[in-house]
Amino acid sequence: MFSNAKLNEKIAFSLLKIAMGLVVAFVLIILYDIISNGYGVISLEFITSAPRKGMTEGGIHPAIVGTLYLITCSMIVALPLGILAAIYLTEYAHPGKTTWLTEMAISNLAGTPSVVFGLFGLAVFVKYFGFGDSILSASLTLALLILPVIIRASQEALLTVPKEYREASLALGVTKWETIRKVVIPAAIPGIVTGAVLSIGRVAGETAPILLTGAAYFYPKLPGSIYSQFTALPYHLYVLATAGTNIAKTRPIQYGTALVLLMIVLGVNLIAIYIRNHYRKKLQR
Amino acid sequence: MSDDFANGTEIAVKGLNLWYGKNHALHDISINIPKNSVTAFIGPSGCGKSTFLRCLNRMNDLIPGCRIEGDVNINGEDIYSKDVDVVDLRKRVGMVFQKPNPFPMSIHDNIAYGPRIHGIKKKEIDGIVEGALKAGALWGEVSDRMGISALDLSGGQQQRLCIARTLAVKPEVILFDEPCSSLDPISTGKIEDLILKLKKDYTIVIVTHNMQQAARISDYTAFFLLGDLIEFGKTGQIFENPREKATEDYITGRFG
Amino acid sequence: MTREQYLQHLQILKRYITEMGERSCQSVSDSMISLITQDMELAEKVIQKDMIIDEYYLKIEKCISQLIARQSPTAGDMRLVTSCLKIAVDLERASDLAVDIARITKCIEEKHTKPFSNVLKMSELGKEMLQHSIVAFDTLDEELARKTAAKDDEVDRLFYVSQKELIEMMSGDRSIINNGSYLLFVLRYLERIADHACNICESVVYMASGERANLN
Repeated sequence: MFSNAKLNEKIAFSLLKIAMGLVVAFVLIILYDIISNGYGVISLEFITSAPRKGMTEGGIHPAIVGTLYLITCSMIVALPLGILAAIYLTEYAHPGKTTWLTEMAISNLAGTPSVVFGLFGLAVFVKYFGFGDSILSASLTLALLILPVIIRASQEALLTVPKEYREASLALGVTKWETIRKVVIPAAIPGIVTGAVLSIGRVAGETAPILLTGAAYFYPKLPGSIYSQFTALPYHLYVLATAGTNIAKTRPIQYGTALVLLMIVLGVNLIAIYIRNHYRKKLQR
Repeated sequence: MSDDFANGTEIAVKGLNLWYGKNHALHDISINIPKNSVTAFIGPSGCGKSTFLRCLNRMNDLIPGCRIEGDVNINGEDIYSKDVDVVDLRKRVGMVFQKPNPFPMSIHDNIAYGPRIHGIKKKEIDGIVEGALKAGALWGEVSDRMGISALDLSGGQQQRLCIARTLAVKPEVILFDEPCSSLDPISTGKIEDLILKLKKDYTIVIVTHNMQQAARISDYTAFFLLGDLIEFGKTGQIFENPREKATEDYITGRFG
Repeated sequence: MTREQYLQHLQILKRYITEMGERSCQSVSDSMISLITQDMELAEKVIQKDMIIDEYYLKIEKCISQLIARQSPTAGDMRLVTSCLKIAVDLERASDLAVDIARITKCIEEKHTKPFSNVLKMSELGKEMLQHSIVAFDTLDEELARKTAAKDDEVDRLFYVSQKELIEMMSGDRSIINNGSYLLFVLRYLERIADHACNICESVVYMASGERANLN
């Protein structure tokens, strides 16, 4: 004999279980599809050589390097900018119209389609500043794209630092800035790193913005400087899958590219998770 | 209000009013707090005792919309005057909070935090840390594990660490904001003993919900009600023979 | 050790009681000496010193109300505090009785009477009981307290015997009625002093064991 409440709980619980099971199943299916199809292509040569014969043969080395360049450059710009903006907004800005406006702008920025960022990058970085089709233009565009993510994550992280830490420090006759620097930021690092991890995934995966700001259709060599054109994994994949010389023939290479992209994102995330846990361990215990 | 304290007056407050926005939270508070003694603020929740305590080291400055009028003199200096450096004031008037709030650092670094930022030379830091921990009655328990995280200590030890951290910046006054409310009776007893020892060298003001605690450790007691200071006097007198009916009702538990 | 200040206060309270007890004993002893030796000066001193004992009583009362109001003593501490209040009352009464004896010294006529032997014995016993009750308090010695209280029977016996004897003597010799009737009072006072000592012993038993004994 079940009471109504108990029955309800059983139903709700089962639904939750099914939902979770579905999510796990989808992830596993996608992973299986990519790994099983891409595994055969992966070799040392695949990741260290340039594509040949109209991309139907050879490796994806330039695309890997291009993606890593993009991650590094956009992070160098977006991370400090985003964190500083978040510190200002959470710690210093007085609530008012300006702050409200800024917060709204950030929210809208987060919801803007990435192709719009691409167009903006094309107009401002490529044309107006004259950086041309380049890693620099693409990285700056991607930096703008992930800025709201980093600001939001950093703000959340700063807000979760207990008020008690700030009070304790201020009550010792320590200035606000020293308090933020010595107590608040160290305590917020795990959260900030989480934000960075999420944005690395986006930088590595975006296609539309780089398409408009610097990725070359076919670029079988390594970029010489940040002013040179480049190719990146997602774009390379897109080209292979939609406009390649022989789409069916390059199917294994497509899967291999997807697998490498997945592994790069996973690898960067693992490093970030390690950093986060390292700090978290220092904080809690 | 009596002013003939044995050791003189440390904090003199005259006509202090405080508003949170439009809410008039403290009404015309005047009180003289004696040097080298323990003064307790008691009263029901929301009576303004903690708010008033935070006026004494200007922690209320951090709250938007908080406005203060009146004089607060600490050792003869008007702490709300324009040329007072708030940061410097808080060095002189330390504070220990309700919840033990050690920083997520080692025991040593917690104590060294204040002196380091205030520019004390590296070779002097260790001595200061040891002295502060000894004065905070914690040295014996932690001297052999100064490198472990302060968060590994028990609640009572954490609170004594916080007291030691305050002592390390060498204040004149220490404000305690319900320091034992999250501690068990044994830890509470240790903190109370420590407070009684500290009054030799510091002026101590303590806000407490626990009337018995006020009775046990304070020399003077102030009773607050709805933002008014109802009665202030020697603790023995307040608890044996209060002048005001409201005080008597509160301390005998007949309140309300 | 925690609550050092509180423990100090309890120690002070105990010390007050012991000091007051010693002074009461002294008064009882001095009053009897003054009576026996007809030492008016000593009698006067006993009367004067009662003020100090009264002051002790006030100090103890104040100390106890502060302890209750501020330290909320419990268990053994509570028994100590409440017992101290009772003991202080007994000691104060005992020394009042000593003052009464000293006053009688001043009223009595030169010529002495025979039954002093019994009075002396009673006063020795009373003094000893009072002294021992204080020692029992100081050392929290339940056994000593019970033993001391047991001596009250002897005091009572002596009281009745001497009273009877004295009345018989007075009916035989009218010239001693004045002194004799004063002596009757002294006998009564000594008996009462022993009773107070007995009460103190009861308090000590309660302090030590929590048991409310009737040792009278």
